[in-house]
Amino acid sequence: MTAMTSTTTPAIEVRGLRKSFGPVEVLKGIDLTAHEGEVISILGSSGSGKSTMLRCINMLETPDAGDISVAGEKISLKRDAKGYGRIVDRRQVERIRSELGMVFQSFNLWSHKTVIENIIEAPIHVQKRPKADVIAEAEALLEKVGIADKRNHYPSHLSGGQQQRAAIARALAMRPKVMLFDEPTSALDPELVGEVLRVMRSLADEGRTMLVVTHEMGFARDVSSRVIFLHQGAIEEQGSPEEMFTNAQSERFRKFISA
Amino acid sequence: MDFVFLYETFVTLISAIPTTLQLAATSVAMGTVLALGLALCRLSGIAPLDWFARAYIFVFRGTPLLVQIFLIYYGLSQFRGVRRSMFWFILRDPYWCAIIALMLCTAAYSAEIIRGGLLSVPHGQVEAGRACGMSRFLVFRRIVMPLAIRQSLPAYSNEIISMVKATSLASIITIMEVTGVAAKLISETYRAIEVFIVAGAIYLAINFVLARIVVLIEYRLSPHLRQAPSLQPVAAGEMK
Amino acid sequence: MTIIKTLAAGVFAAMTLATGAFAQEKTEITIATEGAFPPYNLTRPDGTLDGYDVELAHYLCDHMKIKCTIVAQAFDGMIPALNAGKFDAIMAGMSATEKRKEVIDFSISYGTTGQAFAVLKDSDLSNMPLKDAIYSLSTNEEGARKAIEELKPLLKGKIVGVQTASIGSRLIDEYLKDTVEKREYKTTEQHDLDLIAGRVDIITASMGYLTTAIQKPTNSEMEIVGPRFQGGFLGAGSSVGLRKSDTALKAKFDEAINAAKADGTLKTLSMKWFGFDVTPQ
Repeated sequence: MTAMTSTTTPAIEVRGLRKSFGPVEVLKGIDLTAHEGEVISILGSSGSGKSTMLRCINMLETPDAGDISVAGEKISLKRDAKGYGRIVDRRQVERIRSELGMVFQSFNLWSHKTVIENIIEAPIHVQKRPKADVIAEAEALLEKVGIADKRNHYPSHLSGGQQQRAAIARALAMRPKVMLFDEPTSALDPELVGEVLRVMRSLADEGRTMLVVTHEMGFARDVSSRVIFLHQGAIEEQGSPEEMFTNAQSERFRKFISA
Repeated sequence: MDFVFLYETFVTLISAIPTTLQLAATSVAMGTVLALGLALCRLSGIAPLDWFARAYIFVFRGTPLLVQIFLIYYGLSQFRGVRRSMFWFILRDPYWCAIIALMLCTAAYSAEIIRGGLLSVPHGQVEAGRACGMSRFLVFRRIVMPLAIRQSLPAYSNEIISMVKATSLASIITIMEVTGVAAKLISETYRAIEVFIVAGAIYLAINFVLARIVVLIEYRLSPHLRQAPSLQPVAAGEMK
Repeated sequence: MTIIKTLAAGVFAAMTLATGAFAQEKTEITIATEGAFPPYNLTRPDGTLDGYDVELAHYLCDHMKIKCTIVAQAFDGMIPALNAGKFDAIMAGMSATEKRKEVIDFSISYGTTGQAFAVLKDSDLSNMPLKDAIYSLSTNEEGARKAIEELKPLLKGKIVGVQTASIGSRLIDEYLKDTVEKREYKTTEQHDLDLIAGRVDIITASMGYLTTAIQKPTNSEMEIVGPRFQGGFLGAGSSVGLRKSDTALKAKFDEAINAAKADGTLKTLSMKWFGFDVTPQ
C-alpha cells in the first residue's frame, strides 16, 4: 500500500472489485495497483478468481461493483435492476481495451488470417494507423518473438509455442500500456513453455508493465516484481517474490508453492 | 435420336438461360441478405425476434415452393387492397413475384445455414477481437462473418444449386425461363423426351459450372484448413 | 322351344362373329380430359369430372358399347401422353389443328365455338369494334385479316393472356405477334385471374369457354368483346384426339358423333353447357 503514495499515476488501479456468476461470488472485493514497469504475477489455485480478475480489467467480464482505472481513467459502470454491472460507454471501453494487450491461454489467433495479418488487423482497423508503418512494426515484432519465418503461415500450421508468440506479437502491435497474460503457458506442451517464457522475460526486461496470471512458479519468482496470491476471490497475501517465496505468512500459499 | 431437332431445341433454350440465371442470382443475393437478418434474429437472444424468425423458417421450409409461388402471384392479386397498394407495381410483374417467392424460400433455408456458420465461430476468436478494442460491428465484419462464410460455404453451394433448379417453377407464372420455353416447345412439337433431355442438360451444365466456382472459392478462402506443404517436414520433426 | 333354340344359336353365332371381327379392338378405353376448362370439362367440388366433353364422352361410349374411364390430365402434356399410351383418347375441348394433326389423329368435330376476346368491363378495350362478328379463316380469310387490321391500333402494346399451346395462342402468333405482348398460362382460369388482377389487358380463348367463364361470380367484372374467329388453322372445332394407329377407334368415334348429331344430343348438351348451339354444321 506504500505504492499509493507514489507521485506517478498507476497504470492500473482496481478498487473493491466484486463479481458474481449467478449465486457464486467469484471476486469478493479486490484492491490492486500496478505501477508503470511493474511485473505482477497473480497466483492461486483454480477457482480462486485470478483469471476473472484479469478479465475484469479489460471488461471481458463486467464487474458488479468496484472501480477500475487504466492510466488514471476510470471506466464508467452502472448496475442494472438485478444488481449486475453494465458498461455505460461502450466506446470508452473499446478505447481502453486497445490500450491493454491481452494474451489468452488458448492463443485465440484468428484462424482465417496469416500470422502477419493477425498482427496488423487491429492497428489498422481499430487504431487506424497507416498500413505500411504497421507492417514494418509487425515484422520487427515477429523478429523479436523469433517467428519472422512464419510471417505468412496460418495459425493452424504453427506449433502451440509459435502460436502463443504470434499472439504476444499481436498484443504488442497495439503499443499497449499494460500487457495482460491469462495463463499464457497452460495450454502448451511442456517442451514449448520455455520459448514463450523467454519472450515474456524479455518484455519484462524492457520494463513493460505486465499482469500475469500463471502457474509458472519460476517465472513468478525470478521475473516478477510483485506476487499476489488469490484465494476464494480475495487477495490472501502479496509481496515481493523474495518475501513471498521465502517468508510467506499464509499457510495456504506455503502449501500452494510446495505442491 | 434426331440430332438436328436436339440442336434446334438447344439453340432455342439457350435464349432462356439468361432469365434462369437472373432469377437464380437475384433471388439468392436478396435471399442471403434476408437470411442473414433472420439468422441474427435467431441468435439475438431477443425473444420476439427469435420467435418471428423461427415461425418464418417453419412456414417457408414447411410448405412447397410451388404453393408459395401460387399464393404470392395469384393469391395476393385477389385482394383489391393489394392491387391498389404501393406494392402493386412490383407484385403486378410475374418476374418480381417469382423473385420474391424464390427469395423468401431460399432465405428460410439459408438462415439456418448461416446460423450454423455463426455458431461455429470459436468464442475465443471473438473475444480476441473485443480485447483488441474492436467494436461489435467490427468484430462481426472482420472476424465472425469471414469465419462463418467459410464454414457455411459447402452447405450454401447446395442451396444455390437447388435454387437454380427451383427457378423452373417460375414457368407456372408465365415466365419464360428454360423450363417455360421447354414446356412451350413441347406443346408445339409434342416431343417431350428430346426437349426435356436438352433442358435437363442445360441445368446440369449450369450447376456443374456453379459447383466448380464454389469449390474454387472454397479453396481460395481456406488455405488455413490445408496442410502447408513446406511445413510438413517441420511438423514431422516435432512429432519425434 | 326350337324357335328359342334357333334364336339362341343365331345370337351365339352372331356374337362369335362379332367377337371375331372386333378381335383387335378395345372393349375398354381411357379418355383424358383437363377438368379445368368449363364448360367443356370441369371438376366438381366432390372431385368428379363433368362438362360438355365428359357428358358427351359417356354418350359416345354407350353408343360404341365401350367401357370408358375418364381421367383428368394437364392440357399441355396431353398429346405426348396420348402417343406414349397413357390413355387412348383426348376429349378436352381440343381443336383439331393442322399442327396437331401432324402428330395425332382426330375424329370429326363435335363442337365449334370459335376464338373470342374478353376484357374487364371498365377497360379501355371494352368497346372494341366488330362485336359478335364471326370470321372463318377457311372461307373468309380476307375478311378476318381486315378485321384484325381494324383491331391492331387498339391492341398496340397490350398484354394478352392465353393458355399455352392453345389455338388462341396460335391466333395471336399468326396475326398479332408484333402488336401485343403474349403471356402464356397453364390453365385458362389462371389468365382469368390475371385479367381480373389487371396483369393482362385482354385474354383470348374459345367462345365456349368464355361464355361460361364470365358467368362465374368471381369474374363478374369480365365481358366478351370484339369479333370471333374460327376455321382454318384454328381447327374445325373440338374433336376427339386419337393415336394415328387407332383407325378402328376413330371410325367408331366418327360414327358415334354423327349419331349424336343426328339424334340432337349435341344440341341438347351444348344448350345445357354453353347456352348456345355448338353443333358443327
